[in-house]
Amino acid sequence: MISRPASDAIPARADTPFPYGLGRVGVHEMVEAGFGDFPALTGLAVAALRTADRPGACLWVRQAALASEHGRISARGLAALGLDPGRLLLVDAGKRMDALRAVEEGARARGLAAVVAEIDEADFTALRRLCLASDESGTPLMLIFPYTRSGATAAQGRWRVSARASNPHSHDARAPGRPAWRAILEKSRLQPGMAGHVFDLEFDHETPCLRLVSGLAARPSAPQPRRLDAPASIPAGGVRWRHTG
Amino acid sequence: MRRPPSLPAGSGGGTRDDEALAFVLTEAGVTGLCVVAANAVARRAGVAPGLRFADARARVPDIVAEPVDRAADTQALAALALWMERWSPAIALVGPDAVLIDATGCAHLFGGEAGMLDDIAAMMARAGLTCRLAMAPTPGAAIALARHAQDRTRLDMAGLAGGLSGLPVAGLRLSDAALTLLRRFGLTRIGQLYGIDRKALARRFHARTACDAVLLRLDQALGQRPEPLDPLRPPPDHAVRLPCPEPLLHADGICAGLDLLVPALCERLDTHGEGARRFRLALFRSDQSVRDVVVGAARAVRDPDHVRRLFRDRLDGLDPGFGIELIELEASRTGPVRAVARDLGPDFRGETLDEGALSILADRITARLGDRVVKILRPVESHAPERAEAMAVYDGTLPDWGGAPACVSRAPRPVRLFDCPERLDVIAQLPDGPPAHFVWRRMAHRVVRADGPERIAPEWWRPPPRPGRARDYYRVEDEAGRRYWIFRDGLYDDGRGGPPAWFVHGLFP
Repeated sequence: MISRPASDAIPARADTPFPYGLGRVGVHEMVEAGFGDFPALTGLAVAALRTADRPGACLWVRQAALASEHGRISARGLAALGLDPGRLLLVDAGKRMDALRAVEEGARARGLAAVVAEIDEADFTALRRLCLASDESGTPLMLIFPYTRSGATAAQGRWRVSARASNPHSHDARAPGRPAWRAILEKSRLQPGMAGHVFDLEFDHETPCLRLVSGLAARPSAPQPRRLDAPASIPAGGVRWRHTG
Repeated sequence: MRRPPSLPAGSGGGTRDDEALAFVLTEAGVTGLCVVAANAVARRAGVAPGLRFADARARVPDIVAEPVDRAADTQALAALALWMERWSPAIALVGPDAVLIDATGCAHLFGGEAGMLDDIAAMMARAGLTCRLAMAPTPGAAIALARHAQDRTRLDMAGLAGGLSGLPVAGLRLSDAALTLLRRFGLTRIGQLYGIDRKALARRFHARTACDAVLLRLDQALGQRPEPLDPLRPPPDHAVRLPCPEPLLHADGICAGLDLLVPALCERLDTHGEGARRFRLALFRSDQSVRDVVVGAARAVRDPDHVRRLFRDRLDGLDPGFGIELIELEASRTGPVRAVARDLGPDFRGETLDEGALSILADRITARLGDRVVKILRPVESHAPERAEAMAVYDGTLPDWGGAPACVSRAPRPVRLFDCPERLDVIAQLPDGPPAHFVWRRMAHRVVRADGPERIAPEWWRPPPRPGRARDYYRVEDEAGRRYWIFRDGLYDDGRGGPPAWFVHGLFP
C-alpha cells in the first residue's frame, strides 16, 4: 500500500461540525490537563460515543498500570451515562505494546462502533499505524493518555480535557449537576483553524447531547442557602391563595 | 556428570553397553542406602536393583553412584509419553518406568502389531533409549509381559492365559506385602492363580481387601474385569497429521504444513457440522520432544482462514530443534455450528451488532496477547457497588444488561470505580453530611457541592464473613470541578467498632 499522509484520507472540510470527528472518524487523542482528570476523559469518551451513535460494539482497551491508578471503568457508571454495557468488549493488556497491538486489531476490524484505549504513551510510528488502519476500516479511535503526553502526533486531533465545575442540579441547588468539562483542541487536522480553541462542554445523557456552554452560563452560581423558615421565593406581598376544587 | 536416563519402559535403568564404568542410582531405604537402578556393566558384575549399596560397592569397588531424582524421572517420562502420541492419541503412565499406549485402531497404520512394535523399537533405539516392548489385549497383561517376558512379545486374546501363566506374580502390579504373602503360600507364577479356590485364598489373607486386590489384578490381566485407561491428556475430538518426509528446520515449512492441515481439519469439522473452540498444533521433533501451540476461539469456529490467522503470529518463536518429523493439528472443545443470517435490525439496514465478527476480533486479540484477555462485564444483582458487576472472560456472547434491576441502576454510579476503596482524611467533619474538607492522595479538597446520602446496608443474607457496616454514599464536587463518590463506613453511634472512617470509592466524570 502506498504511504500517504493521514490528512489526505479525510479531507479537511470546513463544515465538519463540532466535535470535529471525535468518536466519528479517525484517530483522536484525549489527554489529561492535570493529574486527576482521567474520569473527565472517560466521560468525554462516553459522551462522544453516545453522540456519534454508531452501530456495533465498542472495544475498550485498558493498560494495567493506569487501571490501578485511576480505577477501573464501571458498567453501572457507563449505564448511568446511557451507554449499554452489553455492547462493551474489554481488553486487559499488561504492557503498552500489548495494548497497542489490541488497538491495532480493533482498528483493522470493521463493524465496531469505536475503539477506546487507555494507554500511558505511544510514539509517532505507532500512532501512524493506527491512523492507516483506522482510515482503511473506518473505525474511529479514541486514545486516552495521562497528563504526561505531549509532542508531535500523527492523530487527527488532540484534546486536552479537564474537569469543570458543573452547573447546579435542576432540582437541588446544592448537588452537582450534569457532567461538565473544559476541552482545549490542541491539534486538529480536520479543522486546523480551530486549534487552540477552548470549549466548555456539558453532557446531557438523556437526549443525548454534548453541548457547548457559553462562558457566562458556565460560571458556577453560588449555592443558594435553603432555609425552610424564610423561603426567598415568597414575594414580599405575601402568598396569593388560589381557590381550587 | 551426566546422569544416564533411567526411564525406558521396564528396562530397570539400563543404558548403552559401551560405558565401561559400573553406574548405579541409589536411594535411602529402611535398611540404608539401596540400589534402585544399575547399568549393564553393574548388572554383569552382579549388582541388581534392590541390593544394598554397601554390598554393591563390595562387589564393584570403583562403582559410581548418584542419588535418584524421582521427580525429574517422572517429568522426563511424561515428556517422552507426550512424544509417543505419534503412535496413538491415548497414552498413560504406569508407575515410574512404564508407558501404556492404547493401540486400538492404530496398529494397522504402522503395518500391523508387529510393525508397530518394530517402529517404536527403531525410534527408541535411534534416540539412544533402551526399552522392552510388549503388546497384549489388556493393559495388565501388557505390563506383565513388558516387565517379565521377552522383548516384543505379542499375545492375542486366545493365547492370553497361556502366555501369562509362566510369568512371576510380580508382573501383576501387586503391593510388596501381597507379594510376600503369595511367595509364602508357594504361589510364584501367575498360572498358579488360575485354578485356585478364591474363597480359600481369601481365608489365607489377613484382610479381605488384600485378597481382592490380587484377584482384581488377575482378572484385569485376563480381561475378565475392565481396566479403564487414564490418559495423560484427553484425546482430541478431531485430529489431522502430516508426516514430513524430511525433518523440517524452518518456520516456512511449518507454515506450509499448517496451510495443508488447517483446511483438512476444517473440512472434517464441516462434515460433522461442528466447530472447535480450541486448536493445538503439535510439532514432534526428532529429539523425542513435542512443542505445541494452542490457540482458542471465543465461539466454535471452522473457518480455515480464521484458524490459520490465529496461528500466524504464534509460529514466530518456535524452535524446530534438530528438525520436525511430524505435525499434528487437533481440534477440541467442539460444538455445533449453524450458519445463521444476520437480522436486519430495527431500521432494516443490517446495521446491527455482528457478534460473529466480534468473536473473530476477540480471537485475534487473544491469539496475540494471550488467554483470558478479552472480557465482558456481567450484571450481578447486588446493592454493594463492588459486587454489582462481575468481569468474565468473553465466550462469544455479550451480556444482556436490558434486564438489570432498575432500582440499582437508577442511583448515580461513578464511571470509574476503585476495586479497593481508598482512605480519606477528613479535616472538617459534619455530623450528618459529607465532609467540608478532605485530603485524598495528599491533596486537600474543599467540597463545593454535595448530594446524598445514599445508604447501602450490608447484605445480611450473605454467608459469613459478612460485610461490616452500613455505608452512607455522597456525590461531592470539589472546587476544581472534580466529582468523587465518597462514603462513610458505618454510622456514628451504631455500636459496631470505633468512629466511622471515610473512603473514596469512585470517580464521576
